[in-house]
Amino acid sequence: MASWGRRSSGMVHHIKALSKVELRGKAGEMKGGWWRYPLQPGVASALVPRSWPCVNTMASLFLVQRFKSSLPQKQVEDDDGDQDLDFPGGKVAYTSEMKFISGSYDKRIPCYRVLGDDGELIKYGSDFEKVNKELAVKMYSDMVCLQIMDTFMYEAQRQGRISFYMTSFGEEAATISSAAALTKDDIILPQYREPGALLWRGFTLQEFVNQCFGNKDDGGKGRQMPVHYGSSKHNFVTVSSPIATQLPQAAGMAYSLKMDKKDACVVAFIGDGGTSEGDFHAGLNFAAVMEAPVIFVCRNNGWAISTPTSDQFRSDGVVVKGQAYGIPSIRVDGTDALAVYSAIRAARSMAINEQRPVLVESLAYRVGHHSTSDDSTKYRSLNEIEHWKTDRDPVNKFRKWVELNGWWSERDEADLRSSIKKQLLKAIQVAEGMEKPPLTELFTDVYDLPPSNLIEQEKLLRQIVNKYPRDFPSDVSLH
Amino acid sequence: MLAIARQRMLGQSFKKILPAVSVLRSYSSAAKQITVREALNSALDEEMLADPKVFLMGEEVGEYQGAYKITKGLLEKYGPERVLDTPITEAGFTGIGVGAAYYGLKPVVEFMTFNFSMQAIDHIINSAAKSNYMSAGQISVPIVFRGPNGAAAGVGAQHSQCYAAWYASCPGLKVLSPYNSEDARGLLKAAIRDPDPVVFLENELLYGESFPVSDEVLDSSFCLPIGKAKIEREGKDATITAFSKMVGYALKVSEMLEKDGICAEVINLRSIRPLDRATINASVRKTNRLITVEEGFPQHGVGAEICASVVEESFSYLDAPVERIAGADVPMPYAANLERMAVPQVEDIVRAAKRACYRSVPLAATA
Repeated sequence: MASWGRRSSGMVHHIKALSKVELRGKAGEMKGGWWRYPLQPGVASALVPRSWPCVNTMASLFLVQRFKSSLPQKQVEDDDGDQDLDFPGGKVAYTSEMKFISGSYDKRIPCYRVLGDDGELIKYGSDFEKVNKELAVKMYSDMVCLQIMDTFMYEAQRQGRISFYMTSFGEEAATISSAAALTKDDIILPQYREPGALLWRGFTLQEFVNQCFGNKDDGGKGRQMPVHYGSSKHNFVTVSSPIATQLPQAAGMAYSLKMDKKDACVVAFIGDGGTSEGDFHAGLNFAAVMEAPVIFVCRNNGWAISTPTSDQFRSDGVVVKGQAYGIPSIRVDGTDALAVYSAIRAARSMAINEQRPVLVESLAYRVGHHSTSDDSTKYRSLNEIEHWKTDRDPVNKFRKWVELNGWWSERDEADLRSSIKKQLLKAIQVAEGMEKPPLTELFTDVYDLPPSNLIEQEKLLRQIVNKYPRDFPSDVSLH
Repeated sequence: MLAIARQRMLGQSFKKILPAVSVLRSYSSAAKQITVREALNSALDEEMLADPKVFLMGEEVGEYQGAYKITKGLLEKYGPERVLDTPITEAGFTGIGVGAAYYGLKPVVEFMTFNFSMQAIDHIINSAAKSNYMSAGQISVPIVFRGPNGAAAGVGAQHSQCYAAWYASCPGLKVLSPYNSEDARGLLKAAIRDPDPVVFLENELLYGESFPVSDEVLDSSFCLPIGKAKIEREGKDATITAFSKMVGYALKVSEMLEKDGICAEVINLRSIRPLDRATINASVRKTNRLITVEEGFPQHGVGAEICASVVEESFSYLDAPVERIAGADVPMPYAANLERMAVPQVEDIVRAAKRACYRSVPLAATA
């Protein structure tokens, strides 16, 4: 496991380094833990050097050096009665007390917030990143826009105009503030409930709606279900349905950024349910070992469709899992736009300057149903939903703060809402009336260049469509 | 040992196939012999030298020099940033490779055997194969998945399955399977240079086999086209299609059939997806008889697809039903005698060819 994230390279360097640290006994303490020597038969472990392999192999030379360097250390420790265990992975103190670390928690990790429910700062001058008027107004406007878009598009699905939709109610601050804290060079790998981030980056209402309708202007060429947005222009990787696959991918992308030495990081989103997937373990573990600059943002919204978090894990939420991988983590109030903004800014700085992963658990209740295929009143109380919808709405909370600063008025509110509604209705009207993608797009992008069998198939299909036009939908262009 | 016996047989068959020129001349035109292992290693080395975006990932590929020594010497030459030893999580490192490919690097991910790729199959199919299509061309995945595929010797069911048919059924992937050293070099280079995800199915038992290669093959710019099969031996009475190790068997079979007056044409598929239907059909139209050979399970196998293709396009040219030779429809047993009966043997293929030519064939099974 020697290879991840090391500045030095190759076995030769290791041997050179060892010969330098013979007397200082640092053999077992290389950054990142132990390393592996080549597995050759007859090579004994350096910790129990009973048999010495023949000296003329490179491996044994390695071994000899290592043994030499660890010996003085051990002699010193003998005086203290073997207080420390020198084991692969680093030194660890012994204890004579047999004690299990408790699996349960008496004190949960506290949740960082900046704003109270009334929109006032909790403690004047408390620990947060200042936000100016321009930024605050944009954040707020985008949150309102997202809420209205979700409302309209959900209705559109109910009316049968689109096939499927997923809302972000309750999580507007979590996604938009996160995006606000990043630069446009940071790459976002979403799960599926982060259109807020894409909206922040400049994806227009028309583009969102086009994707949902799958028309010929859809940037995704009608290839995906609604809400599976993607835009390489906005550094927002296309949504992929299987849960948590984006986590190891994020580690890989971050490693590539690291190799390019770019001043950017990767941000991967995941839900509370997604942390159960095997890819969660692989992604976080690898990112830590590779020292990759990636921020894992877990939107813990309390529910994975109908599975509450109490059925999902028995740990203190997701934040404590970070420590198990050696990843610095924080729990933040996902309904608090300023808290999320501050936390992500700090996480980004840590990820890039220290070249390491960071875990952020955002707590923000999922007010809406999982999707249009779900009726959450079947498995949770109406009171609970109502409480979070009205008393704990992140958009209302942030508006109060923005108004308190004198940056927003009733008039602005009315204007914004009516403007968005008008734009949205227009966008839906345009998108609905538009043609679907042309027939050619059925066969493109399977490979970089279309293979001969697909070119043939397309020709054949055109012939058949021309011959029996009534058997085919009229809104599919043949051009 | 079986491997040595086979090598000797192959050496002999090559001498017979080469045209009748002076010994001296044939020696110089195919002067160098390299093993498939050397071919793969040199291909990786040259591609990594030519393109700094190419990097290797897999279990034991670095300090151990590769589980099968395919990546020998590469860690020392290119350093740990380009030859990455991974922890044991196929799903993890496949996902990471795909992520790196999304960004624009060109990973070559090694599976210790393709049996273990099943733990990563979601990333291969749903993340790699489909991304270009689902993102409408915005995300390309120039990744190569390589490793030994199919039966080795005495490794049991979970180490012996052939995945050619599984991966070849998925649009978005390209699936290649080399036979000899020339195939190994040319196809691996083509795979690494290709902007689409490629599954590269090697064979453990072929790694140590030597094959003659020309100077052209040894040149660093050498590359074979993806999607073109090779006619290893021309014939006129029956067409035998095969890939990977079975090509060697098919060549042996064609020699044995020669004695019975059957001149078989042997096609080395090289590319399972895209399948070179044109070459296969042209050959069947010439010979009128087809025998497909593969090591994998029969149902929904490569032979099934070839048969369907020929029936669709060249039905009236067939003089006999298509014969399919495949592995036994059981998980691979371990005991040597059972294992031998679970994979195609040369005699099975000979019998199939004779059946296709309507010669009477003894009922006794393989001895």
